[in-house]
Amino acid sequence: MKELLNDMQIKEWMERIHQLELAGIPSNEELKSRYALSDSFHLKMKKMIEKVNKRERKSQFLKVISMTAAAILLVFTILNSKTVVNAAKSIIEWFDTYVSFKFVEDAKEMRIPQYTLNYVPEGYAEVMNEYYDGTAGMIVYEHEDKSPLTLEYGISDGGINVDNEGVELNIIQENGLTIYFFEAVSQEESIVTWLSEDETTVFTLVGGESKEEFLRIIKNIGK
Amino acid sequence: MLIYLSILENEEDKQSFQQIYEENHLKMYHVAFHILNHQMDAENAVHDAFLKLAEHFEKYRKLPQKEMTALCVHITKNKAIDIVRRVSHLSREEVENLVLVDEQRERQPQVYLEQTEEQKQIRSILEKLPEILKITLELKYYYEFNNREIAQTLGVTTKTVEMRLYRGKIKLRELLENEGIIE
Repeated sequence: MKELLNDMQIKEWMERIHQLELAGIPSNEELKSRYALSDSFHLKMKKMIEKVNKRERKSQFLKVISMTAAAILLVFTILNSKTVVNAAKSIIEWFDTYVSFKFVEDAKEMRIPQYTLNYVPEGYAEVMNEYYDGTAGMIVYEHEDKSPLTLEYGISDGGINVDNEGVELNIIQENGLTIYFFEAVSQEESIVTWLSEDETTVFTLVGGESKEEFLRIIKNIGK
Repeated sequence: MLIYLSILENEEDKQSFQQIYEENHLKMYHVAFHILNHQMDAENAVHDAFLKLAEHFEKYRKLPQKEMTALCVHITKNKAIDIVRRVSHLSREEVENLVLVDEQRERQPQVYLEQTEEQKQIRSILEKLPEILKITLELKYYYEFNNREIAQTLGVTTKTVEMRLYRGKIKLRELLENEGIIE
């Protein structure tokens, strides 16, 4: 039975591809003998570097001032990763910029149905609906103002990462589901993820709607 | 968190913009020229790539030198593909399906022949994986950027990043199947 690759498998392959690509880039010595860039390019780059350096010096100055106050906060600062144990059957690790979920160890089903959104807020039209061989799917709606609403789903043993910058987490119990709602604070989109009641499917919904609209969409997801 | 990191970090470990330029601009030009085959367009792509680097310099500068080189190359390829799209009026689908010729195989055929079977398999995947999808997957899974950071780096929306990641995973899987690496 076909499955989408999980995150670890993709990471492994991208590392191999990355190493091979790096090996293929010629050395600077070889490139110097091959190319002569224009004077106008060098001039443009010189100006850019000066601008970046100036900005950098200003930033360093401000950092020195803030370090004094920050020294007190240092004792209370959270380290790079923090483990949150046993939140509603999921294993979660917090990192600086994302949260890592693994809802179940072994998938109950290796094939899941195709889903539809039976309710979307007014003003949206469907622009994409893909279903990959019984293991995953993606539905994208676009609002009249071009903002997207995206539902991704897949078999439940896959790990997923959810961006956690500029959002606040609320854990909501609704209709037998434990819903992890990353509500947008300083960014445009909120992100919601949850495991289906039968524990076969992990869903992620992303968009700029309110919490109430998200919950209504979730309630009306159908097969 | 940023303040905490700044206190503990050794300032000398961070590369300056000048150092990054000195080390990488020719490599960036090389990949841009390979795509565009036009000096001024390639220089523009490199310039635009450095502009992008400058925007988020604080984040990128912590990367080790080799990773920085690879990131510079990725951003430059993305900028070069943007130029191709504008000039050739390619659709979104055509851009996402764009595959670049393996320049190393052309330039150093002997090196290619001496590679192991696994390296040849990976190279075969590399040659067939559309460039934009490959860059997106690498930023996500190798550099561990989040979707918003990828969107900022590539100058697209997070929705586009999500779709490209999804399509990239499917394509990578197909290629691995075709190579007989997975069933």
